Amino acid sequence: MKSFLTDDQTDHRPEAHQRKFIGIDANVDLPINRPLAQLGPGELFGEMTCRTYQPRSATVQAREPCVMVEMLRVILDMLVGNRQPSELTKATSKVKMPTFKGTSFKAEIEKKYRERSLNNHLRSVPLFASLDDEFLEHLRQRVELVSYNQNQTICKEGDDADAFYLIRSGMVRVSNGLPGGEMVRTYLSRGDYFGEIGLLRSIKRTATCAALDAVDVVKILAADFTLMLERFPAVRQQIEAVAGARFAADQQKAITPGLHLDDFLSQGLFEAQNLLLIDLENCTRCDACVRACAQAHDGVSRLLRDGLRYEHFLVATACRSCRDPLCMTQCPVGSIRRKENLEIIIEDWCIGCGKCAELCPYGNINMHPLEVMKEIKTEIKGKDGAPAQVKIEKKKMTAYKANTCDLCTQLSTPSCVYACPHDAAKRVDPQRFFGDAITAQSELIGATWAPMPARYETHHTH
Amino acid sequence: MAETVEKLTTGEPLTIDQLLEYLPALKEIPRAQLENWAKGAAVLHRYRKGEIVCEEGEFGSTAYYIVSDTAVCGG
Repeated sequence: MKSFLTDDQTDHRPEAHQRKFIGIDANVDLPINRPLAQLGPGELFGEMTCRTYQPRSATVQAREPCVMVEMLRVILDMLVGNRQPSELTKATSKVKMPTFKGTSFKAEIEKKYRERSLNNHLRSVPLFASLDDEFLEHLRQRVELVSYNQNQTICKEGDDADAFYLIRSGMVRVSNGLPGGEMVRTYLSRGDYFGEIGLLRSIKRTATCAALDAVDVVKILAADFTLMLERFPAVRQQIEAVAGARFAADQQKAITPGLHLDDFLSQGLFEAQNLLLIDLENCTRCDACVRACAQAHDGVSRLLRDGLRYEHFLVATACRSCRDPLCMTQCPVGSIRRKENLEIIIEDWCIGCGKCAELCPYGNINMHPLEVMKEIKTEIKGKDGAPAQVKIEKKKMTAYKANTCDLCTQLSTPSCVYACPHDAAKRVDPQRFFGDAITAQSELIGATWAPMPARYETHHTH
Repeated sequence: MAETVEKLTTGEPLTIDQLLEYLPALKEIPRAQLENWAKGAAVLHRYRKGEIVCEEGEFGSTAYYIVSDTAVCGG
């Protein structure tokens, strides 16, 4: 933890030190003495992290003494309008999400946002590592930044190929229309790209790409894409290799894998980064996992041995470390957040309002009652002009604090998994864990399916 | 605005009225919604010259709006 208030001698109130920043990684590639941009009054920054919970893309330093308003996502949503929550979220969330259309400030902020953060994004894409500053600048001025809502089509199979797309955030579903219905090819996420096959081979779109959730893309038009490939052979080589592998996969016989994948999607398992699964074929219902969890967390279990079934697994009621954690969106005090890249933690300053618990679509956050001593001051008016007296009473009261699985990050293995005597409890990345099963099942019927890459990796093997 | 900025110390949560002063566009949002959702959701910060506001790679959940008329740089 690092506080930026350490030498501010004038302010000793505890709340002044509350909003600290997260531990800082040392992998700062861009030196502070090479400024990327200069920001002035009336400008907003940090909004990408605020809306997507992805790490900060740049370091910001005060050049002169300055004053800023630091805001949580709810205020940003009010200012620029919030995204549409997914259908699954709408159906399962107990709290009605307020919808904000945004204010007149929106257009202004969007313009600045697009001008500024694009350069950083383009630089951070491994595929573009060999591009020089001049060409990046050319791209920065020419590309379009487009946002899509859930289920909106980005490009359609059979249409003319006119652009190349780079995903800034969100997930894209790549599918083919077949007589029996839609066959999902793969899912792409941040840092991935699509639309290259049509451009490279001058053919119509070979697949339909649609937004699985709220998606932001960088759209590079055909002319700029061609120019980029001409000037940077390393980029061409990389894109052609990926296009070749994808094209070959497309030529294979395709049959819809069936219900399996539908369940995977409808239960929201693709959203999860880490699931607690209990293999029901091995589980004897001994509840050693629940007891171990309670022992590790002051006697309160953060998991329930109950939940949805998927195949022969029970998806236990424990935090899934969602990619787009809805629970974090409305916390009035900012006490629920990601610690590193996976686990969601609730800090001590939780005020027990319960908004996160209501927002979690999977019921994985519990409000736990605590007994606290509270001082109650009552003023007693003095008789005959005597000064008023203050009576202080201490009273036992119940307060609430939100609890969620912290993945036992201090331990090498989560307590529940460690404690299971039958090897039934596992913590898994569902994309990888079920990806293999789905691929195996699909191969049996001659179809192809590829798991989505992990959050901060990009690889394109089919 | 200058007066209010003078009065507030760093880390102080903003009341709805103070928030409206800094971000007047929020006046377009109904007051009841502001009272319900925006209370305590914004904090005032003062940074000295050279102070780091946020660092590349760190996880966070907030955005920043620059109020004062002095510039900062992203690097």
